[in-house]
Order: sequence, then C-alpha cells, then structure tokens
Amino acid sequence: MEKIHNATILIVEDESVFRLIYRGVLEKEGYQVLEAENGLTAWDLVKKKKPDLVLLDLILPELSGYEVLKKIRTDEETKEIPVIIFSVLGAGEDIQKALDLGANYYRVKGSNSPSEILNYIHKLLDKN
Amino acid sequence: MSKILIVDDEAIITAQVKEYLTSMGYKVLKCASSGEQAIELARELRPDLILMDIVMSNNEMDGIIAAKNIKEELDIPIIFMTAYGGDKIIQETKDVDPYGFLEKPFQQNELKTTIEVALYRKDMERRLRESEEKYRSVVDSAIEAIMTIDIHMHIFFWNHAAETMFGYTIDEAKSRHFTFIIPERLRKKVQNEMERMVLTEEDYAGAKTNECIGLRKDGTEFPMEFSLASWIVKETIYFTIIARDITERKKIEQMKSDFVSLVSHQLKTPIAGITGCIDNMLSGLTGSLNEKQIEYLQIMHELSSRSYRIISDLLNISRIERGIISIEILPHNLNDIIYTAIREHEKYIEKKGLKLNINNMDDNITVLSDRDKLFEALSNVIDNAIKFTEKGSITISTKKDDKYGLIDIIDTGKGIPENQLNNLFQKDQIFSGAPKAKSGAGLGLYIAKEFMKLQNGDVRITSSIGMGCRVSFKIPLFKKKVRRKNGKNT
Repeated sequence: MEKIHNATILIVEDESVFRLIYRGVLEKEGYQVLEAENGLTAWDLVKKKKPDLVLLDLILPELSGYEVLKKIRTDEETKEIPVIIFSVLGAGEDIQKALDLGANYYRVKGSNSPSEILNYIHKLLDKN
Repeated sequence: MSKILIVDDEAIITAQVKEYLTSMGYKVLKCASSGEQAIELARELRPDLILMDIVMSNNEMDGIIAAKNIKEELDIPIIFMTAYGGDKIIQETKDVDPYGFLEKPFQQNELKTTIEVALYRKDMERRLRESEEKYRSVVDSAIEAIMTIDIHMHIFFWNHAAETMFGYTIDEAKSRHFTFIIPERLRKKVQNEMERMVLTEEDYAGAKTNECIGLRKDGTEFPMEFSLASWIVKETIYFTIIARDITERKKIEQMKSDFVSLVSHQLKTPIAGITGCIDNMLSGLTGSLNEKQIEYLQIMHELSSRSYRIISDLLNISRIERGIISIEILPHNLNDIIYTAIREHEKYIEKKGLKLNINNMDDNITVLSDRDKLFEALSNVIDNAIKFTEKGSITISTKKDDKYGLIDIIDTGKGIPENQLNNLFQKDQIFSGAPKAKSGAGLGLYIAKEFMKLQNGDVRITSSIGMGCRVSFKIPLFKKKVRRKNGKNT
C-alpha cells in the first residue's frame, strides 16, 4: 500500500494526549505533522507554514477554535486550507456555528476511533 | 328567643303588637315612640329585629330615616308597619332594603310569618357572609395569584397575590382581557388554547397545569405556571386561573442542567483521550502486542467507550430538558443510516456470538429526518438489543407504508414483562432505581424516544417474557413531487 503523503497537517489541540494520538495516526500514514497548543500559535503556524490541512479543536487558550477558523477563512492566503474540527462539543448549535464559519468537517471527539479521521483527510486532500 | 324592638307613636298599636309577640314567644325588649328614640334603643339593646312605623306624627324624623341610620350603623333587620301602604312609600323604603312590610291593621299570623321570614333571611345572609369571608381569607392569604374571568375572558376578580405578582391593583386589572398579563407574542396562542377548550367543552374542571410567561406592569417578564378551572352559574361559564411564579424553580433547573453539562464536558475529554490511546495501541502504532495484551486493551477500550456513551447520554438528556436540541430535518435514505448504525455494532454482535439478519430491506425509502438524531436513536436500540440477548439473533428489516418509513429491530433475548414496557421510555424510571437486568440500561430508550419525537416519528417496543423484543421505529416519508406512474411498481 502506498503510504507516502507529503502533505503537512497542523494539529491544534491544548490537550497533549490528543496531539499524541493524532500525531501517531498521521505519521503512520506518512504525513508531516505540526502542533499548536493554543489559538495564537496555531494562527502563526498557519500563516508561516501554510499547512495542507488543519485539525482544529474549538476550546483553546488565547484564541478559540472559532476565532482561528474565522481568521483562516478571511485571509486571502489561507482561506482555501481545509479545516476539520474535532471537539468534545457535540450540540447542534456548536456544529452549525463551525460549519457556518467554513469548517469542512466536524467530528465529535471520542465518538469515533482516531483512524477514522483519515477518511476525511484523504477526501479533502484528494480534492485539492 | 328573638328579641324585638317596637317603634310606633300610637301607644294602642305598640300595646297590641307587644301582646301578639309575647303570646307567640318573642321577647319584646322595649317600645319606642319616635325615630330618634328607636336609634338610641337599638344602639343600647341590640335587638334581633325592629318593627318600625313609617309615619310618626309627633316627630320630624320619620321611620324611614331612622331605619336608614340603624341599617348603616347596626345592620339590624327592619320590618315596616304602616297604614299608608301606597306605592310611593314602598318606593321610598327601597333604600333601606326592609326585611318585610306589614300593612296596618294586620293579623297575628301575618305578623308571625313576616317576622319569621325576616329572621330567616337575616340568618342566611349572615351565613353567606361568613362563608364568603372564609373564602376571601383563603384566597387573599394564598401565595398563588388567583383570578376569575368571564366568558369574554375579562377579569372581574383578582387577589392580593395577583396584585403583587403582576403589579396591577384589582381596580387596574378589572374588566381587562386577561391576556394583558402575558407578553404580546404569546397572547394569541394562549387565547386560542382557551377558546378551543371552551368550544370543545374539554374537561377543564380537572385543573391542568401549563407553563407560560407572565408580564408585569413594569414590562418585566417571568416564568409562570397556571392552572385553569371552570364553573358555571346560570348557564354562563366562568374560569378561575391560578398562577404561580416559578422563577426560582426554573433557576434551580437551569443550575442543575448547567452542572450536568459542565461536568459531562469535563469528563468527556479525558475519556476520549484514553479511548484514543487504546485505539492507537490496538492498531499497532506502539509496536506489536501479544494476545493477552490485546485482550486487556480490548476490555479497556470497551469500558472507556461505554463511559463515553453514558456521558453523552447525560448531555443529551440535559439538552432535551433545556429544550436546546437543534435539529436539521432533511431527506435521507433510510437504509444508509441503518447500515451506518449496524456497522458500529458489528464487532459487538460478533463478540457475543449472535447472528445478524438483515432481511427484507427496502432500499428505496427516503425519510425526512435529522441524520445524527436518527442514527443515535437506532444505535441506542441496537446496542440494547445486543446487550440483552445472550444467544440467537438480531433481525433488522425496513419497509414503508403510505406515510412512514418503518424499521423493525427484533432480538431473541429473554424479553421484558408487558407491565414494564411503558416505563422503558420514561426518564423518571431511570433515576428511580428501577429494576434493571444489567447496568447501563435505561437512558438510551428515553433518548431514542425524545429524538424520534423531535423528528415527528416514534419508537415503540413490544415484548413479553421469553419472546424477545421487537422495537419499531416510524419516520415520516419524504414525498417527492412526482408524476404518478401508471401501474404498480412494488
């Protein structure tokens, strides 16, 4: 099986355990992984490194996930970057808000196995 | 023995009347010969009844004026006696509201009848007033706002508590349409509901409680609860509304809900973390595992997944209670959703050694539903079916009728006694420590029911001991505007 992906993925997550989990899954698939543990660092990295995809938590220090998403979508240089939200928030209103702001997918943390996120990543990166 | 005062300026008449009265067993206190004297004696002796002449020639104050004074000050019943029983005099006595009228000369039996009727009336009035006072004191000391409205929904009574609750005095509230204490946006709805009750002659005597919003004079709003009862006088219907301010209760409910929500979110993160780590280990990310390790990790995975599920259920319940579940009803292929739910449980079914029958699936059913909510409801039911079935099979099938898409999920578990079936969908039952076959049961069906209701569908369960369970879902069909085809296509 072909497992070489040159794409770079930014994981934005304040809980180190989730960074560990997703890094594991993504690196196994051959992706380059960047990490940010708060909203501000995340936005810096998006601007500087222009990752191919962002995995974004919503509840974050400094700058919330919603804010980061808004910045990504309103900046000419970054607005095309696919964003997958993964959050413990699972209420319809949270999901709707994120989708309205331009998130490509929304996954509720813990309700699926981590490797399932790969399906969404593959889909989004194939499109680009 | 009733005590009577006689007032007449003709001594011969007072003597005659006194003799009659005494012989009939009444006690004559005294005889007055003028209005003025009558007032004084009435004050002093407090008779039960006064027999009063109207025209007393040697005194400028005639009997009617004296009677007025006595009535206002002492409230003693008065019977007039007069030789001039013309219409004019009767008209003049009206202000005094006499308890009787005797035209001189009168017979002893006339006197007796008139006195007895007067005393009886006085007694009835006293009793009525007492009972009214009793009722008033209850109504006035009530914490609930109590108001009475007529068929046109105009207020004609409201108690102290209503004055405090809404800020209007009874005079300000009187004759107003009762919806003035409800915010404008809700008025039409409440009024329609009331009118419907009047028209359908629904049984509103058994006061039912409704929650609504109250509007105070100062424009502020508050949550209230009210009940409605009706009563009929001379074929006209009246309503009594009892309203209660439930601000405090709502606050506590909100706090409880917020607490559940906060704790759940806090718990979700670490459990999702644990599950994720185990997932990665099981998928070989941390190197190869031996069989024992795999078995242990699988157990851990199952346990943390279950914890996660219970917390999600709690969150869902708190959302249902707060009414903040948002749903998105769209056309979906029914089987797609079912297959997704089945896939989630394949491992579990396999592990328990059950057979999965997917029979009679109609692939052409499009339903109007919220995908996630329907998925969750189905998933909860499938999960239960597996949990309570030790051997045999789970059978899933779909079909449709002219209105609904229908799903049956049948297991071969030991079933549920018929008298417990109704309780399964109730939340109270879950928290009251009802007997359960296994831990973790309960929340799922309540949520399934609530979610199906939100989608205009339903879920029902039939079962009996030894027969397994059949859970049936129905979901409204999506009807495309299509031309009718000729012939049958089923």
